[in-house]
Amino acid sequence: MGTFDSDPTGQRAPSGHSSPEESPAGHVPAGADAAPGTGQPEEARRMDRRRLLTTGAATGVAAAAVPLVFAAVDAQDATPPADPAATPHDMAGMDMSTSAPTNVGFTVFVPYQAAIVQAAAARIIPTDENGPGATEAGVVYFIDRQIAKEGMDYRGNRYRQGPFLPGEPTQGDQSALAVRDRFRIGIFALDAYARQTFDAGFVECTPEQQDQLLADLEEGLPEGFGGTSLQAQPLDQSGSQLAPNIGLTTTTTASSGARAFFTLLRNYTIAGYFSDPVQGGNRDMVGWKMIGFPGAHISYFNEIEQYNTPFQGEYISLGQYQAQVGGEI
Amino acid sequence: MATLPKTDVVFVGFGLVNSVIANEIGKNTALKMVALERGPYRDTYPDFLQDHFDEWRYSQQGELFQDLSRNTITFRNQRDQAALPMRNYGSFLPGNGVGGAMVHWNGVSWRFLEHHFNYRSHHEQRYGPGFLPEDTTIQDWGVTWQDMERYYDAYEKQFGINGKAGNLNGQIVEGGNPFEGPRSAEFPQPPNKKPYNTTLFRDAANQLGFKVFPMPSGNSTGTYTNPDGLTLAPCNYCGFCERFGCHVGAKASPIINVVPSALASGNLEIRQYSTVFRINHTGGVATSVSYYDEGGQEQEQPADLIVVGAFMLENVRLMLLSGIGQPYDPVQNTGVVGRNYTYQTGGASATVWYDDKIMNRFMGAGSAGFAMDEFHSDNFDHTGLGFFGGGNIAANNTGARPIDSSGPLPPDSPTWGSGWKATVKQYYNRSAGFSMQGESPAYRQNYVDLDPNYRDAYGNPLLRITFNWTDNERKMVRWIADNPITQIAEAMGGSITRVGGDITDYSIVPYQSTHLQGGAVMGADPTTSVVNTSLQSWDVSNLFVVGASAFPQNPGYNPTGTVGALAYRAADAIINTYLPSPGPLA
Repeated sequence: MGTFDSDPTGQRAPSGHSSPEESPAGHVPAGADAAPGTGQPEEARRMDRRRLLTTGAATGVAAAAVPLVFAAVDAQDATPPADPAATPHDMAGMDMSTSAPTNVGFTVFVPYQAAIVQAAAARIIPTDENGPGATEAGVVYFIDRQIAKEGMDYRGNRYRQGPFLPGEPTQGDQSALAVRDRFRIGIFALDAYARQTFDAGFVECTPEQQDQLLADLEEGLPEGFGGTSLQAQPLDQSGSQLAPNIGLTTTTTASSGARAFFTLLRNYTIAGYFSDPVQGGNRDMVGWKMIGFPGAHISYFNEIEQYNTPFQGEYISLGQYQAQVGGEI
Repeated sequence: MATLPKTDVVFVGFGLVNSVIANEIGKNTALKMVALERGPYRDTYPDFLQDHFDEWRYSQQGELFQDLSRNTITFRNQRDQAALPMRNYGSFLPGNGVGGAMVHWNGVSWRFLEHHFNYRSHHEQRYGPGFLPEDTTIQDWGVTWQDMERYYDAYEKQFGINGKAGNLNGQIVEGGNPFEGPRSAEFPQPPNKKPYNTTLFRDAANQLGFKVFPMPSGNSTGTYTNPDGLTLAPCNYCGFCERFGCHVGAKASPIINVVPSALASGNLEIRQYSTVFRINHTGGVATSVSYYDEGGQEQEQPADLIVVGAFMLENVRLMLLSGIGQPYDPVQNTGVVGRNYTYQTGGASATVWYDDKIMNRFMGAGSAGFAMDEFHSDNFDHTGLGFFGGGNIAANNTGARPIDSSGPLPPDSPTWGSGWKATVKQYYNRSAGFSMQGESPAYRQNYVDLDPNYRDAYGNPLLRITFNWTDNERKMVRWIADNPITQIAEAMGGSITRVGGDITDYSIVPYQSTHLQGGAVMGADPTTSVVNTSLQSWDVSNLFVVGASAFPQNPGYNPTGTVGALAYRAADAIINTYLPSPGPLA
């Protein structure tokens, strides 16, 4: 594992901002109703209103944060990040206009989930001296599109009938969980583990902290990762609106386990980095260009026996190939 | 349920086996034929020409494979375990659709060796009694290599197989496989082009004195027109072969080499999306097949003759679902249907990484490579080795599509992060691998039957596989890895070398090979076989069951060439012996 002095994507908060409310994404804008409640009925009603207002404010923050997080993918199209401090406090005051492209967004993930997946994918395939990584490849879009397919997992149509029994390792994955639910559970669990370990959401952690968290997952830690049991816990008083209100406990029996989620994340990240761009990732063929895979070449008949000679052809995607062989549609 | 008008012949499945038999019947008789195929018909144009280059869709998500959500198998290593369903693609990738698995195969096309057909008697004669493990149920095929030669020849000409003969009419020919049986003719096409990495294997093995020869291949060398006037185009070495249909019609396949001719008879109807689940029979005579049509509705198709060629798994399952033949009982060691299930033993392999060479690994074909047979089966003396069997050792380059083949990376490489990325960038295009394809002997404890718990989408029991390696294969793999594979790898002279040689328990999880054999074995003795040497059911004489299901055990070769030869043998028996006088054949 390599380590970084600074975040190569330039998108992440500087290290040292370990508390959610100090990070830009979790910042409650100045001017929000920040006075603590007293517990009186009248105060309680005001607090409800305050929470609503804060939620509205956070929506404004999130709207600004989404282009921040995903800016690298659509750099030329994305809305310039707004100054969170200047974000209006309520829906009525929000500027809802946007110049973001209409054909991006997520079909399964919500931006909260997508940001965590993107941050993790960016550590699995970082942007570094060897070129673009998972972020520029749009891996998170690939994963979002693929897990939207009903009944499909990494290896295609899955046999989904019961009974579901644990079995031996030689018998393969026997879980009843669909891949999109594995992501859902794993994303929450990863974020909860980050908060438990570093007192910051996964996205707000430094690259080094994120690497450590992922390395733990790869080792099968923490035990009980991916719990599905909602249990009694104190009210979240942090004011952060970019953390789930209710944390899933990590002390119950694991539904899939840390290593399984890491493997899932890694496999989908690598597939999204190297698959044809038509599937939603590998944008601008950055994954192929990193290793020198030329793509959809109709023929190497004249080159196959030119031994130990670098191939000089261009990179070509399936879509470009289809335009050649299929003509205009 | 509807009972449809009777036809003369009904085919269950329409891959290699039944397209060949239908084509021969169509050319030689006026019989009306109906083929029931569970999957769709796809062709070079428009399907493969216009798509094809999508690794995720075809290779990872399995566009051309059996739909596991509807029908899979259950698996356990041994009888005291509960078998559980293979929920994802793993160990093997059965096909789905017209042309069968031969649409997405690599194209490696062998003839078995002479002693493969008298496998048990050969070992008993050479090594005496007590040499073979007590639990092995390997047996002779009931036919000889010489009986099979003309069928191999017919298959190779139909499919335009390329390679170099090593034995022409008993004359050893330089450059070919000196261990092969005496061919009546040279290959229909000369060897195809070879990727760089395979020449490094060839040169190293030649230097050690081994006789290396071009792997026999269905990736067409040039433009080839077969006896029915159907034409293969030259292979483009595009690197999308195994798991893909060919975009230019250059990979030998029923959809190129047979189906158009079979349909041109005017007497064949192929029904897509039709899943046969039972052969109806009474008093030793099959009367019809029952199937689910494209909408899931049950249909009954009566016929005089039924030919089952639906891949090993469905051949055997259909016999069990239909109650034809006595199911195998591994405890009592009685019965035949499901007996002698075998696979393909991998695990002995090497990878060599070079810092001074680039391979262009993305260029390649399914079967453009080199092979050697010195350590296959009983081509070498096993006295004192503690095992029998071996395998073909070969180097190939099927195309390094990057999701699956960004590796292999050198030992102890990082698996993610910047370290992984730097290693992939350095070594993606710098490795050369080769391996043994080991044989898989038959054992009493390895078999298939119907699963008691799990069902397909229509409610019929899944097939259950009980299978594991034995110490014989573990020793075989270790010895081959420690000896020829290590020697060749070292002679290849790279910067880093890794040799693999350990197998423990068979696992259904990683992809290994789509070579599944046995369960409806052919033979001369009805107490140890399901079909006779004409591939005709011992129990129902108007039923033929053809395919790798008929192999009593599996050598260290890909099975397709022999499946093709068996199809021609069955066609010959049906047309020239059975039809003139229907009834049990000798």
